[in-house]
Amino acid sequence: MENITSLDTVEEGRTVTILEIHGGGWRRRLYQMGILPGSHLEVVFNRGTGPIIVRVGNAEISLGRGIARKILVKVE
Amino acid sequence: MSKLLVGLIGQPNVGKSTLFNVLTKGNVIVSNWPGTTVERVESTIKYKEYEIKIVDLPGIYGLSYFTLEEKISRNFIVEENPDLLVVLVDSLALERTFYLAVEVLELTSKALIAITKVDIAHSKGIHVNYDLIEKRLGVPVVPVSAIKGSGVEELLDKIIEKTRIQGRLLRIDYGELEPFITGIEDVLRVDRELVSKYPARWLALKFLEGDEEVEKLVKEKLSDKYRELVEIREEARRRIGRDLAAYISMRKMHFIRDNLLKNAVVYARLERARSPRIFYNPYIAPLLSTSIIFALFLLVFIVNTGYPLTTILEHLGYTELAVLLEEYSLSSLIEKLFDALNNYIIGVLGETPFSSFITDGIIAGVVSVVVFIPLIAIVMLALGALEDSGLLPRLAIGAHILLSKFGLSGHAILPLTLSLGCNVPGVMSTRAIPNHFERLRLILLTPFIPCQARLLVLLVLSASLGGVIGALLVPLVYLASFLVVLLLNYVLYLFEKRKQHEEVELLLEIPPLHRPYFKVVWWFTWHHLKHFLVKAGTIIFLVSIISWGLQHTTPTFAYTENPGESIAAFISRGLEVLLKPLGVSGENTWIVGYALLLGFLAKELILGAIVASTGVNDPLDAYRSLGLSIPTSVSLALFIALYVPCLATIAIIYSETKNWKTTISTIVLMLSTAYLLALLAYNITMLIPL
Ligand SMILES: Nc1nc2c(ncn2[C@@H]2O[C@H](COP(=O)(O)OP(=O)(O)OP(=O)(O)O)[C@@H](O)[C@H]2O)c(=O)[nH]1
Ligand SMILES: [Mg+2]
Repeated sequence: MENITSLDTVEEGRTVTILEIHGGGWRRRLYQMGILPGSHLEVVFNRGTGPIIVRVGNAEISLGRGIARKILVKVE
Repeated sequence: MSKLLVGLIGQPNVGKSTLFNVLTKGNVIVSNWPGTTVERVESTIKYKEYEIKIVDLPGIYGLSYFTLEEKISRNFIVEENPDLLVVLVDSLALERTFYLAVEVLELTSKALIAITKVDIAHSKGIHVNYDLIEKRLGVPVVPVSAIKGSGVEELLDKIIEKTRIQGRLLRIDYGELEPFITGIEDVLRVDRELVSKYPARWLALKFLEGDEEVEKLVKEKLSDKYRELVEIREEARRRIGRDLAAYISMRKMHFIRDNLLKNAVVYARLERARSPRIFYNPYIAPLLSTSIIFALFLLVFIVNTGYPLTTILEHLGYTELAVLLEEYSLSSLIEKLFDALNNYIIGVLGETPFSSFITDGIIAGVVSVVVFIPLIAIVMLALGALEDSGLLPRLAIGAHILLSKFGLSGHAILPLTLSLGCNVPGVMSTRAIPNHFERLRLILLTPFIPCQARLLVLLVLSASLGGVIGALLVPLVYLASFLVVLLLNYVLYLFEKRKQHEEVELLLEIPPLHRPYFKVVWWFTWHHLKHFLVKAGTIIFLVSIISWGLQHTTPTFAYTENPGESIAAFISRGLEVLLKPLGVSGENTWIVGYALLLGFLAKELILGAIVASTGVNDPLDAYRSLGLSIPTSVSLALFIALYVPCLATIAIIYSETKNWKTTISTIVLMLSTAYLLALLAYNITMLIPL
């Protein structure tokens, strides 16, 4: 159970699988960018404050923490 | 000659504008920032026996009807019925950028795929089996490199070839959703007109996704069946057990990964391009971002005017070196040219009203702007390189940390830096900002960022001050205007916070860094220079002629040699009340007032107005001849940097907001902020013993 968490708390270097994305206007855009339930992400950068950087496929995307908090993931 | 309409469509930053420029020999802005193009741009070319109209569309991630850019692109496909869509897919991010391609191919079969940036893909060891993808998709797939120019002719040939062949729509397997899609399709087919305009399957999918526009359309055309359709959707949602839009996107991604690209792409080397992490660090990144932009501007100033390097050298005792540097700085070389031209004309024509018309009217107005072209060019080369390198999205990360304290997001970086060049593209680029309220605030506030035209005036003012204050003036004024943007934004943000609860957030793709391409930087520079030249040749030229008339006619409509007794002076004396608190007094007051009045139309007019009113040829000497005190110059500099930028910016604010109240409030806000701060600056500088 404990390896299910929101994306903003995942340590750098970890790979995660997205379970669910909650809330708001951002959702559609996230889907289109390949950030959707079932996809694998690598957390490239996360230092507790400021945007976090994830890698999806071959591209890096920066996410505000508010968005990251709404993404529920399973840490591999 | 047959005519073809061809649209370039693709996700942000895949290289649409670059390809557009290469195809049409155009110069639209290319930048390594996702979401640069926000408005469609078109141009017609001749190729073989065809006249092809090519349209560069804004980058979009998918075909929903969510953002303004998506609306522009979808309306283009549906309403204008192009002969062909060229869907661009980035070879460096195939999986993600194919998403839009797949959505397009479900909507129309009149399309082909161009895989872009193959030059770097090859050097990074990415190999793609284009034929295999072509077979799987059923439409032509053409590799191109717009930068190297390879594959461009093949693309044009394929475009023509493809418009002759009828194709089929792409069909993706949506698994458990299939029966519901068919169910909805059957209901929709009742309306023949509707399904002849849109493919029924596509409409069904969009209806299931909850697309607002399709929802509206269906409700309107099939009002009696609407309930039935909604019930099918509810049933589907229960069966799938999650948000249908998410499910549909997932199936598309599966298709791309497991059907389309499987065994068709080989990554020869496993090393992944990683960005330097320093740009991600929450403490170092903001500092680094501001220093890079600051350093860039410093460099530009040194090349142009020699300072602050000259001032530093003087203080170190290298006076000769400082003089030499100033002598050979661009602006002083230009001044010499300017003097020579005026002397030549007066030499040929003598001192007549006609030579006055030429020197004080046309040359003062137009030439005093045109001579600054090298300066503009250098600033634009620097900004263009910054845009193309991919540094900006990285700066956005650092800036986001800083800006979010003031209610702005990292997305604001693009409008703010573009505004350093010209406010008009700056205001337009706010369209890519996802948060509606943040966008509105930026439309109102980016015009506070000093553009090139204002920089010219600032440079003359600071050169007239000289010394340490002169050297510090320009950076301080820039700093002040950034602070004004931040603080006013914060105030507006606090007001609107009560209305909306969504936080400002960052969601931005970080494209790979690369060395700026000369071609791209040149397009950027030329795009701005052209705008500048056109302005000089039209509005500046016209206003200068009218202004000459105003300055040589008395209120009783007689010709006068002395501008001090002209209509211009008469009108401008009305501003004396406002200028007095800034320390402008005496018989030259009207000149300052007049220059500021013309500056409302375009800031470049300020220098011309001073030159023409004083009768001194060189802008710097003309300004010096006004005999203004240091505190007055400082406060004028601030006022000029902050008050209404120009008519063109006002027009773009109106066209982006479609609201006169907002537009007029912006003018009032700018004038009052500028005046209050100028007053403050005057009184503070008075206190400093100089
Ligand atoms: N190596 C290489 N780089 C390219 C090529 N085409 C474009 N680029 C780079 O990709 C970046 C984005 O190019 P743009 O043409 O502005 O992309 P766009 O698709 O118009 O982007 P938006 O307007 O933001 O949707 C720029 O930094 C270009 O220099 C290419 O063929 N080869
Ligand atoms: Mg573009």
